[in-house]
Amino acid sequence: MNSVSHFQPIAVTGIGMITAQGAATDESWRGIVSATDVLGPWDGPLPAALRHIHVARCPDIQRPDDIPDRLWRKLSRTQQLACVSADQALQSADLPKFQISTDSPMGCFIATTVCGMDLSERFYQQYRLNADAADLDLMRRMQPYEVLSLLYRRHRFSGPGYMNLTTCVGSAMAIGAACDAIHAGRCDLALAGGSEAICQLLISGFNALRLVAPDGCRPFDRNRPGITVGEGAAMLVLESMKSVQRRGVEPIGYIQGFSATCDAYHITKPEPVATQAVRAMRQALHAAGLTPQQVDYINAHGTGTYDNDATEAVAIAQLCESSPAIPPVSSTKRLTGHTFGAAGAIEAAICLLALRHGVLPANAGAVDPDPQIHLPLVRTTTFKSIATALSCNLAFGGNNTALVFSRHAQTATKGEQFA
Amino acid sequence: MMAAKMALCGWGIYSDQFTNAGALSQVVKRLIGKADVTISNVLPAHATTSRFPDLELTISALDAVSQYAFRALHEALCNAEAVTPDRTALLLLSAWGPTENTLNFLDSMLEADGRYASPRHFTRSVYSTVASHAAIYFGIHGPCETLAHGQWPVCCVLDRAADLLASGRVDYVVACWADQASAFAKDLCRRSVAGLDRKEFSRFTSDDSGYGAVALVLKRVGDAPSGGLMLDIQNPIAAPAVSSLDAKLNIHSFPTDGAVHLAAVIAAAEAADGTPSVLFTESDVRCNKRSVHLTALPLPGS
Repeated sequence: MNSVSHFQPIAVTGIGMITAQGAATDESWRGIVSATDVLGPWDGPLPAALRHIHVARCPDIQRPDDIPDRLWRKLSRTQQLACVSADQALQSADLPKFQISTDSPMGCFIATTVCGMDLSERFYQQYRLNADAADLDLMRRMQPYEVLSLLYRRHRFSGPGYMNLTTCVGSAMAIGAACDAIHAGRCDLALAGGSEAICQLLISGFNALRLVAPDGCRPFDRNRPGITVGEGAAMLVLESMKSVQRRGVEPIGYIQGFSATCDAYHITKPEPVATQAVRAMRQALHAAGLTPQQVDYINAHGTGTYDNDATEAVAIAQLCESSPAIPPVSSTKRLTGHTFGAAGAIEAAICLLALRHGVLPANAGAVDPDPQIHLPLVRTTTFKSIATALSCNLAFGGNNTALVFSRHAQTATKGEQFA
Repeated sequence: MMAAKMALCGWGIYSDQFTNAGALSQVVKRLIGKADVTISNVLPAHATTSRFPDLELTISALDAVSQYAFRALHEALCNAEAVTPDRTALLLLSAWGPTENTLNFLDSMLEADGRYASPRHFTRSVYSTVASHAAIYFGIHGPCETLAHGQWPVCCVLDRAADLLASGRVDYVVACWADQASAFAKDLCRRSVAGLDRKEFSRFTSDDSGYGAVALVLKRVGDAPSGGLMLDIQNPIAAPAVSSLDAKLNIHSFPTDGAVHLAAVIAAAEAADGTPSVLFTESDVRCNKRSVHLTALPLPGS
């Protein structure tokens, strides 16, 4: 394996999370622990032929006091979810919502796949009927960077940042990029995560690819018809160790390693032998100074499509081929839906909360696990103290990411065991 | 915030005015020290010839924005030393992405009440499709990131490139900016300029969208031989001078126009006698400036 620089731990001091399980981090986590099935038909605009499809829709969220109702109603749902989850994360990190210190500029790295597509779809329907009468305000939310621009303006961030549009790995990449920016000394604090709203394009598009499970996804099941389209947002506040010491805050957990690779194989199918997926996992663990044997829990991408789950199982098996056992694995997609640009961040938050509370979330939806997939699935929620977790995401276009989390900062054994 | 330095290994361009780096360089050389130059006098055939006929066959089935990106990437990679696929990252920024495919998909969805939506247009409607296709074609196995930024589209990509190189996970970063002159985008821009208050102005409301792509191959300064160019990305401060190349080259303000400006600045630095020292500046709507200082790579050991 090529050499990879070791990764100084980055503290996570705040989490904001909105999922179909709840409009706040605690509610979401309780729903995930209790493995509540919250899927149901989409009540938004959708062609009649698709109305039977179940989705994972978030509960209604409350407008923040500082945003006037007139503006709130103009924001795309992706922006609304991003705003509320960012507020939750900043509050959780004991940071002010506004005027964050300019002595330590705060970075902002956010991911989405469709951004304001809910509004763009309304605009385009109007535009097709009568271009002159179409509401231009709807169109303004079409640009993907509008989510980022809103957060920068609202919170007066002055550090580095950008939008990542790399679909299902976008927010994992955003978290990795925030860590890199902190390591490079360009900021001490960063908000990183993703936000995604359900729209017709996502439901209709995946249905066109025959990759939607009408009654809900069943990750790693023998009969897994496809994904459940979901919406949600998660934001993490990331800090350098120096910033943690300066502010005197207690981290929720730590990011110990990150890596991203690309299959460069096929635009929609993962590479069956998973060469690059397993390389991402190995590099992330290597950067963390850990062996696969030292991983206590793997949160798999586990979308519930045949190809994704089969490839991911191959990758995890290869990763652990020298270990006595594969660590417990679960996909939480049945509980949250597949939230695309937000998935990596939501699953990062789940890993951090799993480490904090000593809980392995269940691989909900798999009633008859695929005998071809030799993974020790977490069949029901399990209460067990764990120290390290690995979160994997695989995306459209063959993009793979791996993030390593720990309950406590680990710096002593870096790179010693896994060369 | 720390500034970052990177070495330039190669670059390429394909736009409505320049089909390759050599064409842009010719114009820039003629411009140096002169008040005004008409591009068509310098490059009578500037928009017609391709240096890579084999590539044209390969990309003929791709959408417009992917074709522009592929041409610029191909030229940049041909001009650079051979990169190692596993240790190379690809960064692509596009303001509009494959918008035409998104609209085609929405049309197919709306016209048949959702029953016959086009899977082909859906897969090509995703922003990251362009970068993923490029990664497949060029065999890049490092991180493949698709980015967007409303204020500093050039500098945010260079910042990310510098961080990736500093992380040690990659040895090369291939950075690309690409956009197309979508008829829908142009119409929206026109309506937006006419309808929005000036305070709402952004790159998005630009009234003249061109098209094209620019690509750079970058590596760590310490790994590069002397004699080439170094990009030194400055912190967001007021810049001492602003290049006036924009006006002279009459670059269309398509959303990644800053990248064409950067390419022109690179061409100017390459054409400079002695020690080059050229500044590229990017401003946001509040006139906060980021700049990139192009100088010669330091000699080994210096």
